[in-house]
Parts: sequence; structure tokens; C-alpha cells
Amino acid sequence: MEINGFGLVESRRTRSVLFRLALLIGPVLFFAVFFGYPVASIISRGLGESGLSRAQAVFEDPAIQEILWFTLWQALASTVLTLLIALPGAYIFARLHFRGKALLRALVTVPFVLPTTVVGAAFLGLLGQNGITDQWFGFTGDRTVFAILLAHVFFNYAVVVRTVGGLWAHLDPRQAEAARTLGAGPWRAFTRVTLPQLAPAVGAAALLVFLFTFTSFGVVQILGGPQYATLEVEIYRQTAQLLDLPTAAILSLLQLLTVGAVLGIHAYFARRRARALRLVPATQSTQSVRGRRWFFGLNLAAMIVLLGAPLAVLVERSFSTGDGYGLRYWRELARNDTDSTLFVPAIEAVGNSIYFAALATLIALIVGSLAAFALSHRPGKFTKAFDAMLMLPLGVSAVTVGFGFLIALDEPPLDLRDSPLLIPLAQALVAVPFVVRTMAPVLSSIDERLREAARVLGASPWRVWRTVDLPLVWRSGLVATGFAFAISLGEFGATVFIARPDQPTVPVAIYRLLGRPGELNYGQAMALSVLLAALCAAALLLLERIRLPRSGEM
Amino acid sequence: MRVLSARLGVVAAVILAATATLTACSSTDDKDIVTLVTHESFAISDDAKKAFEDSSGITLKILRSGDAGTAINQAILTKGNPQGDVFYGLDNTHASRALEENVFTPYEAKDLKGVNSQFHIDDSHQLTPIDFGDVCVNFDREYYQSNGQNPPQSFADLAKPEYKNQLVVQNPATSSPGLAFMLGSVAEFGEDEWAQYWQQLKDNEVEVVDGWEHAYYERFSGGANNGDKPLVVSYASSPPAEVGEGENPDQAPTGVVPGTCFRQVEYAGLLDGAKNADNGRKLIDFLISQKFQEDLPENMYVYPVRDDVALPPAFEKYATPVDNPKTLAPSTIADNREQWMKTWKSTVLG
Amino acid sequence: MLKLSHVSVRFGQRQAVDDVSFTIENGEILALLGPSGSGKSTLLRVIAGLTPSEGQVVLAGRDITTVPTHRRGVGLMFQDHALFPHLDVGGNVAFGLSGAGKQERVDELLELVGLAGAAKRKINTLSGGEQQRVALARALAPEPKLLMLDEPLGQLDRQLRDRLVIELRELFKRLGTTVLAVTHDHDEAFALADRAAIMSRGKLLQSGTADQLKAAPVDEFVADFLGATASVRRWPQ
Repeated sequence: MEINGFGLVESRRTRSVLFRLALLIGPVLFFAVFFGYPVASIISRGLGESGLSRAQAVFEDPAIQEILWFTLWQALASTVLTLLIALPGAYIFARLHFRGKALLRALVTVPFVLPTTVVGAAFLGLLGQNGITDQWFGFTGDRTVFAILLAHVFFNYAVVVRTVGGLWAHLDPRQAEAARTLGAGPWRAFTRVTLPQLAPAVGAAALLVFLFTFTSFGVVQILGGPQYATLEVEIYRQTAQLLDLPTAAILSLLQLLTVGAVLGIHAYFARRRARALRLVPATQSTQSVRGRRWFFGLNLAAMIVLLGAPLAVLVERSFSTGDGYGLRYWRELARNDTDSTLFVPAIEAVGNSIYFAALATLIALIVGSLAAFALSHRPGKFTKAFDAMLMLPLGVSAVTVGFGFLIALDEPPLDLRDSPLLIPLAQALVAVPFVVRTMAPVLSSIDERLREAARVLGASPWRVWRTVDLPLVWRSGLVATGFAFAISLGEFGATVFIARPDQPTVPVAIYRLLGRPGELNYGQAMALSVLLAALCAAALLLLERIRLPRSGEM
Repeated sequence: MRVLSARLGVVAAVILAATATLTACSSTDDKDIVTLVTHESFAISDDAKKAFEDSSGITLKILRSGDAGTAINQAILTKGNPQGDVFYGLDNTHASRALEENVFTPYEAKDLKGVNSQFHIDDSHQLTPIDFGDVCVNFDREYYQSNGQNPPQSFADLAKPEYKNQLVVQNPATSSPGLAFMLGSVAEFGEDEWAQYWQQLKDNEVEVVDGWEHAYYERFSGGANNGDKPLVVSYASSPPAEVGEGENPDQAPTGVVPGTCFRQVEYAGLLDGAKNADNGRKLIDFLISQKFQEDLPENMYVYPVRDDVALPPAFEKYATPVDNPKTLAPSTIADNREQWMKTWKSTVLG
Repeated sequence: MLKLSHVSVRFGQRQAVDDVSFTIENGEILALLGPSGSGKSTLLRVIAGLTPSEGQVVLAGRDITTVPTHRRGVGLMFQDHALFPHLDVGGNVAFGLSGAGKQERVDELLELVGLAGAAKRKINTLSGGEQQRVALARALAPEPKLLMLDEPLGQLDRQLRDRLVIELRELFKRLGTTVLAVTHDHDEAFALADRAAIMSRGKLLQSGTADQLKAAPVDEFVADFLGATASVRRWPQ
């Protein structure tokens, strides 16, 4: 056994490592050009005006301190709450076998694509004045942190289910079973055996949820009211409304530093966590629901209340036409009327969304899988740093990136400002971390000896990647694809800050509709949101159905 | 599997190469194009667009991004190397900054005489007025009828006990109508007194939300909206939108509180450094032409700056003309905006 | 066939392999014998090119010290087989093959290891002994100049081991394969191999036939090791 421990350290210097580093060239270039350069440009433009002299005043402003503190703690609380509620859900999807699993898994991912304004409206319909809980129990929860946290769970449930469930399905259940035979109760077996094995995935999921909620914008605005503001809102105000670039630059730096610190902490704890796990085919580890009925039922109930109810409100509103129910808004959407508020027929917005999302998914998959592969193998300092950097776009405000694009990518050969390619590029930036986080844990848990066996049998590094790594992560690659697609489909923040030729995506169309008065506009916005949700669910279901002949099932 | 994975590698290479080539090709100058840079709410009918393109032989390309503030600040940021030729959608709350930054090249539009002179703000003709709208408190007609109460008439009324807990406004820091309503209160009560007015509104339990959509759709009870408050800050042009298609009531289900209106004027300008400046000038001429001015109300819920343009029937019937809107000089707004917002915040949210 | 000259491997402070030199003749079966931690598996990895080392490795007259693993033409059967879980039995065996006639060769090899007709079976349906055979077939398939076995029978039960070790030896002799096998069990080593080389703490202490080693151990360790394992082996029976 001593061989494996030391042999790997040594083989770092071999060609296969060079090959891995070569794979990183693409992702590094991608991030340097489409993230690092634009963000650095906008921040240095801001600092260029007055340097860091403004920093002290900004940091000492009690309002800013309050914003930073609120941003941090609500993100932490949201992360913890999401993990608590979604980890049992991840177990259900990973380990239990039940009818309609694929459909349910697609449905829980739907919230992910919905625009925050629409979800905010749905939560108001549930928790707000006159909302369902108000009418039934006399309870209103809007304007509280409680509502913000619940909405964050709503959005991020799927992040945990997908990131953690992907690995959980492949853990060998016999190890937990062994613990049980040694006298451990189910809880002890979980916390002492399963959880440590899941740690890399749980850590990754927590990080993703944290970054998402750290940069929360619409949810905090609508459900928290003006009393609550995140750093993201303040950066938007300073950049897009006041064009106070020096202040915005300092706030962006503050955001970067905070996110950097969180990434650093994560990396520190994740350092020794990655280990080769014994993976088994998912089919081998699933069990029937029987004997776990109450657990299953409880989780199902949580999903229905937490995820189903807000969606139901949207569906209800898309059919509620003031005087009873009807298809009026849907008919209006279907009408091929270029004079309508959408400025293009709804079907065209759907087409645009699919087109951009597909393109973004492709970019994210290529960049992400290359990076995941390179990073999965006992990374050195450089690759570790890059691993953390990949996550940065999630923690940096959309307006910083959008405005950065504007001033950085404005000269040939990179004058992309009015290129339609900018949208999928911006979306891919957000999707790549998900691809990496989904694939890297599975990749790093591949037994190194499988790769060595392939090499001894005459396989070149490229062939090893193709015939060992790729087939083994193919399933998680599919999960990543669904993830990336859903993110791109719903991405709004960066999209809206990029000046675009007239190809509105569905979220942009919803934004336009909601910007105007009139029940017809509102109803159409609701119908379009339901359509977006359905589109996402359909795409994910389709992906679930893809089974590669012979090789894929692992 | 093998075919697929081999392709993946090829695709990766192709994408990188394609990115490079696409970028190289995208900056071709085209003599027959004009690019309009604007915000997300800009809308033009196909009919009007076609009229411009047919008469001028120029293809109109539209770049939209974010709200009005986002769009104009992007224009300021790209000064000298603009994204397009003409910017549309600058309002009086942002005008001053853009003029200071010299984002625009002067151009006196051909038929400027046709524009009502009250809208001109700048003699150097960097900015050409295109449309205007009024931000006013809207009220729920049915609420006041069924309660036998008269709707409020003025800013001062809103602070009276009988309208307690009835008004929803937007945060001026995050909402453009919210900012306009705050500026209206400054214009009404003066720089020394307006904060006291807000203290009274606060005591009268005014509700503050961050965005217009939230205030109007989720908190306002008028029309078919979901809320329970009969008063909301919105636009003078909102009531016509509450009349459903095919319906023909005597009055719109919502009305406008006439004494609470603040006027917003939107301008267009020729961007400094425009690649197709000549075409840009023609586009500005078109924006104040009768054809486009007629197009405005139905597409953007704003009023034309020309007096010789007929309003659509729904506007004639359901919109209330605003006679004496509040106004502030753009330079006054620019000088005080940030301070006023701070005062507002400490008064209302503090 | 294989010639090692002054091979050393250092992991940080630890000398895993310390100046080892030996040769294996064409068609010979050599067993590397030693307690766990003695460096014998590291030596296999050096020969396979999986672990870099000092010294020189010459295979069939060609210096392969700097040749990457996949071009060395050696076969290695891993301790717990390392079968590809995503491929079926046939897919595993065919992995190292190329060109035409793959299918025939796979069938031939499966027949050779006594698993005829199992090509379509999934890896996770195989018993330990069957996995063992698949791993062997996979390693033999590309006709390596040198076949290396790392604890080939390690996880199997006693009876199966006794039988298989005879089968393996017959097979290798029939095919004329040059074999280097790592084991910690000297019974197994002597049953399988023509000659054994005894390692301890990274050093090669002595090599020779069973009779030579038992008759004249160079030092106490060799004597103890052969004796001790022998006595341990005898004990459970």
C-alpha cells in the first residue's frame, strides 16, 4: 500500500502532469480574457480616479459596514439552512428508488431558472400581505429575513441535490453498512462514515450556495424591502445609477476580498479531503423506499411546500384573468404580434433563450471539463489557485462584469461589445464553476490505478482521458450539462447589463413585461415564467433520458 | 463515446478560433447602418421602424441594456469610443452629468421648431427632447367609491390622517419613479421643508418597497393588481393600461392624483465619436418626426413632445392631462441628488 | 530480457528502493519476495514507468529508462486488478489491443483463462477469481515482452490459490512469457517462479532457486523470513 501513497507524489513530474497543465491553457485563457481582464479594467478605472484614498471613508461608513455584515450573515445562514433542508433530499435522489424520480429531479431544478422578480412575486403571494399564509393563519413573512432565507433555499435546493447527490449515488453503501454492523446507529453511520466521504461535494455545494446568496439581488430587494441591502445592490447603485466608479471599485474590491477569503477557507478545509473513494454504479447503491417511508414522505412534503407552493402560485396567476380562470395570457403570448410589449413574439424569445443557453452550455462544458480534469489530480499551488479563481465569477457582481465587458472588450481584435456571442460567454462564466464542481469530485475519486492500468496497456495520456476518465465521469457530465443549461437559461444579471442587439431571452422579456402597467403584461410575465420553468424541466428530463449504450452507466 | 469525446476536443479548438475570428469580423463599418443605444424599455413599432429604413435607406440597429440609469452610465463610460451612434433615453435626472462629461456632439435637429419649446434644456443642442411622462400617485377608483371617500388631491393630502396606511412608494435609491416622486416633494416643499414632509408620510405609515413592479403589481389594489393599498407612485399614463383590451368603461379603474406629478423628459443625443454620425443625425430627425412621435404613447406609455401629434384614443379617454407638474433644473438634481437620497434614507428608513 | 542496473527510488527521507540490480532471462519467471514495505511493488512501478527512478532499466536490449509507460511494452497486473468498471469483460481484455482481429483475440484469451463466452459480462458481476482471470487476460492481450504481477493471488482463498498458481505457471511456460511476480508468500513464490529474489528495506538481499536460498541464506533476515513465513503458513492448517 505504501506505493500508492508515495508513488503519486512522484508521478507529478511525469508527462501526464504536463498533459494536464496543457489542458488548463484553454480554461485559463477563457477566464483571463472574459473575466479577469474586464473586472480588472473596471476596478482599475475606478481606482485610477482617486486610488485607494476613498477606501477609508467607504470602509468607515456605518451604512457600508451594515451592508457588508448583512450580506455576509444572510449568505451564511442561507447556506446552512439550504444544506439542512436539501441534504436529506440529496439522499432521496441518490439512494432511493421510486417512481417519477427523474421528473421530480427535473422539477426541483426548475426554481433555478426563474427570474428573481417573478419568484419574489410568488413568495409575496404566499407570505406577503393578503398572501395565502396571511389569509389562512394571519401570518405575514415578507420584509423579514425569514422570507429571504426561504427564497434562497427555494433557489438553491437543486444545487445541493445535484452537487452532493451526484457523488452520493456512487458511494459504496457497504461502508456505511459496515459501520452499522459495528454498532453505529443510522445517524452515527451517516456522520462518521458517509458524511466524511461526501465532504468534498458538500463543501463544494456549500460554497456554491454561499456565493449565490452572497450576491443575491432581487430576492433581497423584494422580500426584504428597502431595510435590507446586499453589497450587490450597493455596487449596482454606485455603478449603474450613480456612476461613482471610485466607490464602486472599492466595494467591488471588498466583494472580491470577501469572496477570496471564503474561497481560501474552503480550499484550506478541502485540502486533505479529496481522496480516492470506492465508487460503485448508481444502480447498485439504490434501495427501495420501503422501510424509509416516513423519511421519504417528510422530504417530499418539504419539497412540495418549499418548492412546489411558489411554483403553484405562478401557475395559478398565469391562468387567473381577474374574472375567473382562462387562457387569455397564454393566447396573448402565442399571438405573433410584433407591436406587443415583448417587441418580439414570445416564441422567438424562447428560441433565443434555447440558442444562447445551448451555446453557453457547450462553452461551459468544454472549459469546465478540461479544468475539472486538470484540477482533479493532486493539484499543485498554481492549479489550486486557479481552481479557486474559477469560482470567482459567482461571487462578483453582475454589474461589475457587465460594465467591465463594456470597457475592456472594446478594441479589435476583441471588440465584442455588440456581438451576440457576449451573452453566452457571460452565461458560461457563471455555469463553468458548476460544471467543475459537479465533475471534479467524481474525477478525483477515480482510482488512480485505473489510469495506470490503461497506461501500462499502452494508452497515451490523451487516450487515458478519453477511455478512462471521460466514460467514468460521463454521468456527472450529464448532470453538469443540465446544470449549465438551466443556469444559462435563467441567467439575467449579466445579460441585462450587456447592450444587446434585439434578441431578448425569456428572462429579459419577462423583465420588460413587468416594467409596464396593465394586467395583460403582468399575466403574460407570469405565463412566460411558467413557460420558462416548463422549458427547463423538459430540457432536464431529456438529459436524464440520455443513456449511452454500454459504457455510460457508472 | 469515442467519437463524441474526440469531437469534444475539436470543438474546443474551434470555439477558441471562432471567438477570435468573430471578434475580428464584428467591427466592420457599414455605411448603411445606424446604431441606437438605449435602455430595455425602448420600443418601436415595426411600422415606424420600416418607415425610417425605407425613407432613409439606413438599417436601424438597436442595442438595449438595463434601465435608463444603466444605459446612460454605460454611454458615459464608453465616451469617445461609443457602442453606437445615437443614444436615446436620457432623462432630466441624468442629463446634467452626461452634458458635463461631453458624451454628445451638438446637432440641431431639422424640425426642432415642431417640438414644444418648454422641453428644451440645452442651447448647445447636445440633447434633443423626444418624449415626456409624469410620475404621479395613482389611486384605486373602486376603493374610494366603495368607501365613500374622496381620493387625495396633492402631496399634502397624502400626509393627512384619512389617508393613513394607504400609500406605497419606491425607494429612490433603486427605482426611477421613486426618485422622481422624491424630487417632486423637493420641488413642492423646497429644500428645507421636504424632509419634514417625509417624516409626516412616515408617521402616516407610508410603505416603501424597492421596485416599481413590486409596488404596482404586488402592493397596489387598483385595477387587476394583487395588493391592498389604494395609492401607489406610478405614471400618469398607467390608468389607460388598466383598461383591458376590448373593454370600454367610462373611466379607467385607476386614476391620477394631479398635484403629485413630477415631470420626466427623455432626450436623445448624437454620441461623440459615432462611426456613422450622418446616419445618426438622420435618426434624431426621425425621432422628432410625426411618424415616430405618434408611435410613442402606445409603445412606451409616454407623451410626444410635439403638439401636432394625435394621441391614441385610449390616452385621450383614460389618461388625465397633467397641467402643472413639478420640475427641477437638471443641474440642481445633479448637485443634490446623492445628499437628498441620504436625507431621505435617514428620515424614512432610519 | 530485463536488466536493472543500480535502480534507486527515494520518497522524501525514505529510500524505497536502494541500488537494486538484477536480470531476468527470456522466458524466465522471477518472484520478488519480501515483507510488505520492502520496496518490491515500487520496483514493479519503476519498470512499468509509473514511478521515476535513478539507475537504468533495459528491456529486450533497449534502454527504456526514460520511455513513457504506454510505449514500454510491459504488462502489469495490479494487486486488486484495477479492472475498468465502465467496460464489460471483453472491453477490458480488448483495451490494449489494436487493429483487426480484436474480437478473435479476445475470445482466444478468454478461453485461455477459462472464461470462454464471458465477453459480455459486466465487471461487477464477477467473482474474485473471475476478476483475477480477466485481469490476467487483459495483461496478456498485447503480448508484453515482460509481464509483471503484483500479488497476483493476494485476495483469493487458499484452495483457489494453490490451484491457480499451478495453472499460471503452466500457462506462462506454455506461452513462453517472461514474468516478474511480486509476492510476500514464499510458498507461492516457489510454486510459481523459477527463481526468487528476496528484498528487504529497499535492498535486494539474495536471489536464487528455492533450494539455493534455503540451503544458503546470505543472512539471518533471509533465513528468518523464509522460516517465519513458512511457520506462519503452516499454523492455520
